[in-house]
Amino acid sequence: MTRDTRMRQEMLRGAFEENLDAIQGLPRGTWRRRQLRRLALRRRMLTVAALLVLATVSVAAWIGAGPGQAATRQAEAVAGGAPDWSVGRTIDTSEEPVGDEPGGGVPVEPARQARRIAEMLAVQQPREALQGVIPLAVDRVVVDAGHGGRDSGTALGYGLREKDLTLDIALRLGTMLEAAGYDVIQTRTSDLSVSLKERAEMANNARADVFVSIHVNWLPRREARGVETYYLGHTDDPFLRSLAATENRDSGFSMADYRHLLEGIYADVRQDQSRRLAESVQQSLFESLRTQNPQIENRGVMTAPFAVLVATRMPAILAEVACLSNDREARLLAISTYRQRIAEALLHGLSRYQQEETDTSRPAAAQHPETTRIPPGRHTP
Amino acid sequence: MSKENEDLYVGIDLGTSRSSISTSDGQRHMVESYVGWPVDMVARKVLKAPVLVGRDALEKRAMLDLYRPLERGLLKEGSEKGQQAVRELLSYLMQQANVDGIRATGRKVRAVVGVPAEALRVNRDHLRAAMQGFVDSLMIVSEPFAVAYGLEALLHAMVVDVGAGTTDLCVMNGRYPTEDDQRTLPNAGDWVDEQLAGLLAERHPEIKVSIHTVREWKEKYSFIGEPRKPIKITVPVGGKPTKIDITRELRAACEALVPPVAETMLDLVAGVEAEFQERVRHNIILAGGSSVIPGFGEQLKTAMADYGGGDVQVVQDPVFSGSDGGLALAIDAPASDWEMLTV
Repeated sequence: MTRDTRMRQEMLRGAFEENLDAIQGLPRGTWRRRQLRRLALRRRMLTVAALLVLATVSVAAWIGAGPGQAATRQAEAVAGGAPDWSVGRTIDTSEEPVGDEPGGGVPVEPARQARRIAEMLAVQQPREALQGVIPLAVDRVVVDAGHGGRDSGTALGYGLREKDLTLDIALRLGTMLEAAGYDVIQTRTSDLSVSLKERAEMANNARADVFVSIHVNWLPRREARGVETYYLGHTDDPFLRSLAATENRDSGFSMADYRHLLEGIYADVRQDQSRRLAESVQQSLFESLRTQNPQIENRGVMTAPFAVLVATRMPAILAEVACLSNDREARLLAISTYRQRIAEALLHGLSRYQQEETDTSRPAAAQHPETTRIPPGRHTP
Repeated sequence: MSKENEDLYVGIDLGTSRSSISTSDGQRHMVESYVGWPVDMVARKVLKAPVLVGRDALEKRAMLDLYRPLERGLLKEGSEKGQQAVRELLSYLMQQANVDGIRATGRKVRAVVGVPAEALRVNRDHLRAAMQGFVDSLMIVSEPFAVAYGLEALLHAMVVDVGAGTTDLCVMNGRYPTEDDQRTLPNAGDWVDEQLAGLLAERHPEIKVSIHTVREWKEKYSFIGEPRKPIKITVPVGGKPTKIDITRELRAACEALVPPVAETMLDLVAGVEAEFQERVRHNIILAGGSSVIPGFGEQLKTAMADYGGGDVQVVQDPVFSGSDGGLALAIDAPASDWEMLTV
């Protein structure tokens, strides 16, 4: 796509959104504020990336040399030269061991050390640099398009089927995630039947960092509409139990599998990460979609024992991105720009989660009370 | 999909002085933005029409209750006749392009309407209401943006749209322009008419002519800079046709437009990132009905000389540059967007 085409698309989008704001009776400039927020977010992300790259380079230099010698050693290492190591710097036993280096009192092999630093400094992309030094919260994402094949999920008489909608949104999300540098695994890329067990195994075998399952809701109260996001946990809500039973149908798991899976899951540390991921995605879905769907309800973050959440070994969520039972939302779902907006909201939620998780100073992370339902007001900006 | 079933895309330039329509099936029509209703039964009998639009209305104005729906760049809200005038004008344009006939065949009509920036700020809802029944989907944009889009002047460019009611300036930075990228001035064609009428009244108090006549003189003889020849018009003075020279007054009225426009141009350029300012200064596009005043572009260039110089291009087709730009926007907008912009 040429720069000119991109500019045209951006401008058309601006004109479209401005008109949509007017139609929906939103205050003038809502679009502009949104644009400024987007720009600010982009700037923040660039700043964070730049700072982390700087930190990476500093850490690499520190590994290679003591204070004051870092710059010289760094230059030598990059140049591939062989500095005079005959004096044999000995790592102080009080220093943290790095990688597979022995921890104390052992002279560091000069060539090996130089190679390692050279490798670290040779990185081109900030993301790759981060992978080497600072653990990333999210690198590989499994995008799970709910239902498929024989299982249509919910459906409307005039042809809108959950399995088609989830696939469309999943493919859009996957494309954007790849463009953002994530490694993406789709549980299905066409109208295929894939059991819940197979989906979970795909994610586990791939050692994915995050699992995002996309679904479309059907609520008994037809006027109800909105978004809700689940993570693994217990529920006493009869409706949620029934919903989980419906979604878990044809899961491919035996009772023995289930017993094994359920052992100790609620104490799992990933539940906390899943909750944070669910909160981030839910907030993003609600904030982003209400510009096009002002009546949208924030139905909150909830816990339920969906099979895909039980069987996956990474932070996992199930997002009900709209209600097909509501006429207005069904009409919106039929429009590609709305599905694109959903995919963008999911991407934004994931990115924000990634940012928050990479921030190592999260002392309060584990202090959240056990929550099964977060009231909608909490997510209202 | 067969051609018969394709949507019809329409670009409309709703201007204070002239309005135009360009359609995706190759039609282009222009109408002067005047709407008039016969003042009484006699006038109706003579005119043989319940309403007149365009040049016809202007020429028969003596028998009409005459309206300009976008006077001073704003739609007249509040008065029933004012609102009706907008619909009559739109209806006339749609008839010219046979939009009703096309809709009757089941084809959808998607329209982009370019309006003066001030009308976009104030009258958007009113305009949407006025368009109901004429088109299936509607997007409203500011006039200079439509012009810029149509001319592909999307990056490091400035459009100066000198209309009749307002002069709208818009700097294009490669993104959809925000309010900070745009300015609106009341100094435009109608303002020049008022200046000219005032100067003539001062020098020739005996002349009694309407603003419409003054406007016609301006449209015929306007210029900026040195005159090529004296401009003399014939007007009745005390019932006797008299030739008077209006060269000096016309020049002064037209040149009065330059300082506020040049000043605002430079102010907008100053808001552009420093490294791109020169490129913007050398990529200024003069559009709108008053852009055809001979010497206007040159004078704006001269005004920029002290600020590093610049270049001003006058659009080749000021009558249709807005509607053509609207048409380009309409064609490029994704079908899914149109579905959400139904009227």
